[in-house]
Amino acid sequence: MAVGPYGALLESVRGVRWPARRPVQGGAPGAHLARTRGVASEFAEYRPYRQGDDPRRLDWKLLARSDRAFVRLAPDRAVLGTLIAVDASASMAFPAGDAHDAGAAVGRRTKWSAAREVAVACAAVAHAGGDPVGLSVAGRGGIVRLPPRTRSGVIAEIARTLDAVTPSGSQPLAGAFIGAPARVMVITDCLGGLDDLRRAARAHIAGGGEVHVVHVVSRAELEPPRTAMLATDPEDSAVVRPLTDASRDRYRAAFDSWRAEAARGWRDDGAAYQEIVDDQPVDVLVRRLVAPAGAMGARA
Amino acid sequence: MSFLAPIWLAAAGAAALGVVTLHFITTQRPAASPLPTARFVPDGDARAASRAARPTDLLLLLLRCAAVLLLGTAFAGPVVAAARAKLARVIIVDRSRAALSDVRDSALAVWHEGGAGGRADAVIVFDSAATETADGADDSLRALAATARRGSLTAALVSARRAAGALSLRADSIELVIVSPLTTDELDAASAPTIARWPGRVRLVRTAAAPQRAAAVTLAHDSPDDPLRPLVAALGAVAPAGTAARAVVRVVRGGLSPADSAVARSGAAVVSWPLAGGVAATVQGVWAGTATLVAPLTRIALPAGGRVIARWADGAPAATETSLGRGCVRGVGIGVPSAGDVSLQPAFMSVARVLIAPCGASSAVRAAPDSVARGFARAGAAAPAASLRGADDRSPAAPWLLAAALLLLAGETFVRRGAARAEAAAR
Repeated sequence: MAVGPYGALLESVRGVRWPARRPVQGGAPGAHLARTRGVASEFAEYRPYRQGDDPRRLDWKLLARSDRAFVRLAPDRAVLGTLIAVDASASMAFPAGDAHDAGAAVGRRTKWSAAREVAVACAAVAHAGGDPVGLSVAGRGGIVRLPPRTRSGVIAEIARTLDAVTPSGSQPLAGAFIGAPARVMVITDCLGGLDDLRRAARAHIAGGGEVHVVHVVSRAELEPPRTAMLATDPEDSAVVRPLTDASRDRYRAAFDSWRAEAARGWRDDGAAYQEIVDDQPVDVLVRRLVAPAGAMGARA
Repeated sequence: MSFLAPIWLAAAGAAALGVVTLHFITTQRPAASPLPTARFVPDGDARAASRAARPTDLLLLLLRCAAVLLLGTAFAGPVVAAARAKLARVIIVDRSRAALSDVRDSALAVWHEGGAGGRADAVIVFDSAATETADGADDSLRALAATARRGSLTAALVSARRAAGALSLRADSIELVIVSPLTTDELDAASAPTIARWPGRVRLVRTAAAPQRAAAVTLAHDSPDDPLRPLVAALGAVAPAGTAARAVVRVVRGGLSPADSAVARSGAAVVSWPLAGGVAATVQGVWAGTATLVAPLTRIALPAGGRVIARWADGAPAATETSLGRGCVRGVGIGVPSAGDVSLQPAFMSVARVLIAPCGASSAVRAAPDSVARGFARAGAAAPAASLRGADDRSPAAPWLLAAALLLLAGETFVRRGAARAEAAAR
């Protein structure tokens, strides 16, 4: 698998599993517990025999002891199609490499690079579990889609697709939910079309799907530089505001409040919400993102 | 160089420091930088204040600092003094009629204390008026001679205060030295309060007071039955009219002649006391000094002007005195009847003593009691020069400094407008 610069990252998440948050619909055999019962050797429960059942599934020993006909049932397992939806709007390119920009610093990653690595790593984890994995990238040219597949090489294709994208524009990400498989991971900074995105996510969850929201935040957004600057919104040129010592504290308070409100809203919608900072190690982030719901709740 | 109000220098320095500090705070439009979360920055003026690494607008900064410092220096009042003495003295020397020649000796001794007289010393001689000797105080003191005028210590103290104000620029502290016999006629109600306002040591060099001079009274143009003859005989030697003896007081019973004026100019007191004539005398009251007389008298018209030395009971002048040369001419409008014993009464004698006293004053010259004199001497440290500087002291450089500061402020306005236009053009 040619994954270029992601080799070390993928090696670090090898063996990590991404279980479904709840039993999935039945389908092709996979690693996730399904809502259907099958005929596997693993015993789950008895059910009284009904006309039409396969007589071979009768528990003959039980029938002999109790003169009652029961059928042995086993838990079924199925695959869980996964879509990684990545926000490639202009705000994800922050901080840029320009020395005059707010977050410019040697060796500092952008929100886009963090989102890209998280996307590739999570796709690899899902793919390792036998799940079909697809990709949607919302950028200036619209939404680039890679349908969920299980074939080998899909991770490399996802990596190449992401590497070819330059974040720009302000394309809404809500469209990625159209025709999406049961599990959707949204990687975004939540700074554009948040209401539409949440509305689409709520509909997806109501349809039995599960949504993982990865909120990418830059360290430079959390702790802007101490020098005065005229902050401009890369997605809205009308927003030009002076960030000075006098306004810095109020900015941080407003940003913190907004993030807390966003997290509460996503969780109320039923989504698994995680905030990541662009300078955190991605392998650690991925283990936290794919952890079972109980484990995530314990960490939260 | 010293300053009249150095606190203004400190204030100007602090203000200049504030100006420099303000120039480190730039209110220009900061550099634009993308920040995706800019929507959370409070909206405000895009011209944000920020700290700069180096002062902005160096030319404006220099102009403003220079203007502030010039203003402070102007208000501080710079004065240039070649050298400052530790101690200066203001020497008050009495040359009134109460003084003798030993005043001159004492004044010279004081002047030569600690050397040949300090450059920062000032000498004020006074009788009825006070005069500060400009240059050559040593020569002035050597030529000092008592005058016939009554002394006024208050006038001398006021002059001393003014002279001390000028000396305060050349000395750290100032001592007041009074060389005087300190007689009662030199003191008035303002003398003690004035000396009390002197903020330091006062040295009193008290000399001997001039003894009361016995008046040599001559009577001119009189008649054998002149009622003033007994008076003149009682007050002093009576010289026959027309003698060449030098008279201190010349009582002329007729009209004054040029010769009388010459006598007055030479220092004598010429008393023009006309005869009563044929007017009927009526009982009237008159007082002069502390003496009072009620007797049948007649009123004689007096020439206008002069200092009133005796008044009738209704307040009209009864005798006046006018200075003439070194002496004086006194007119007496009290007609003494030739008949009767009015001129022999003790009350008349008391009034007449005032009227035919030597020039200057009618009261006797008496040394002030020691208890009074002690009030004019004070021990302790000499007065600090700063406490003697008058509020009206001015620095000759202050107007020029103020003008320069105003020019700089005007220039600052032009430079600021130019910078604003350049900034607007840059946008």
